[in-house]
Amino acid sequence: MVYRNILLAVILVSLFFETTVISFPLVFIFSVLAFIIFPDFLTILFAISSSIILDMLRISPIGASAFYLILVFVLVELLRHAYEIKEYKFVLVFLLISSYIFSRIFGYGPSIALYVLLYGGLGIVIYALNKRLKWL
Amino acid sequence: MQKRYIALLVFLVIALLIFLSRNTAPVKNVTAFVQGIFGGPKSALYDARVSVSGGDSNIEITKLKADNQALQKKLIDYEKLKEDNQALRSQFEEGSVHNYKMLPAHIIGFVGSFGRPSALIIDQGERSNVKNGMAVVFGNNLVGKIGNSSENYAKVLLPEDPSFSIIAQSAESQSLGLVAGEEDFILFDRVSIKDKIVAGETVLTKGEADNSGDGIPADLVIGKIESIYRNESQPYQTAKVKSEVDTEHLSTVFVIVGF
Repeated sequence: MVYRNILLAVILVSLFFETTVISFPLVFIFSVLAFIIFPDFLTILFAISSSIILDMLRISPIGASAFYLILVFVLVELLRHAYEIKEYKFVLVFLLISSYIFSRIFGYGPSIALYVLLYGGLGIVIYALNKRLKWL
Repeated sequence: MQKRYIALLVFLVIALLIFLSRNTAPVKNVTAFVQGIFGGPKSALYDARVSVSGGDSNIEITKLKADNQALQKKLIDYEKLKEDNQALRSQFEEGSVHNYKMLPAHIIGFVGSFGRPSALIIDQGERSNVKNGMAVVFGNNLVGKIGNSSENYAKVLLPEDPSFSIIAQSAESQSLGLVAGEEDFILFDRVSIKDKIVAGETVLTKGEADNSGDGIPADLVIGKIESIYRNESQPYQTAKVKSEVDTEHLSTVFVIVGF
């Protein structure tokens, strides 16, 4: 429960930083991460609300990013049966693909190279820390 | 499991409804409320980012930090006020020549990459009579034009943005063309092959307005021609234009709400 609250707090803080200080879909990434680990009603409600607020702050069509986020959540649910989705390799690859598509649709700047570097680097760090790390 | 799918479906419908009713009064009121809450912190964060990225104020702040830690906050506030005052004074001196009605606005965010944004977000919107297509300037330089406005915020499309395009003319040869964004640079396109444009020449706005008189006044500086591409077999020539505005270090801009 504590970890979930921390994640939700990170999403809230990301609302201030995203598009003001950095151009990276932080709210989306942490929302998907929160849903993978804690797939309950509160997480969904908080993630969708944050996404709608983000649209208001970015002057994007309100509800568009929430719509995409829900579709990603549905995909996570479908994949939950087939794969061990809390495995860090899966999480990294899934976040890489979904956040890159998100950034292209909603006009974030970073290139695919930066995404691959970032997630690749993160993967190496996690691998080095614990070869059998599993989420939760 | 089944409950999660139902919850997602319900939220999907809610998101769709919000999307469809985004221009209605209730959604606009909520938007105004949310933007009001986030406006202050975002403005402060953006100013901090501008300072860190190497604005003049950063040097002063560093000096002040070294001199007196206790006075740091007061001095930052003072510097910010001074900067705003200077910007306002120079802007209104510039504006008085052309008789523009201008509205100062703080930049609170950006869209696009960190070093090369495609749009800026400012803290003035429809409530301050900011409308789509209005020019945003700094000094006599065109920063961009309003691409989208909500209650308290507006998005300023920069000339590098692919959806940006305005009619322009070169200052010396008076060659007419279309200035459009190409992501990495500004293109002065559709210039007749018969016209003689040269590198270093200034490109100005030609002026355009909609039915209500809002738009972009003439003679605002878009940038300087860097290079020219001519092919005698083509009816038009193109030129690459570099903007004079350093958007990365800007924190205040001005919306021309009347001219």
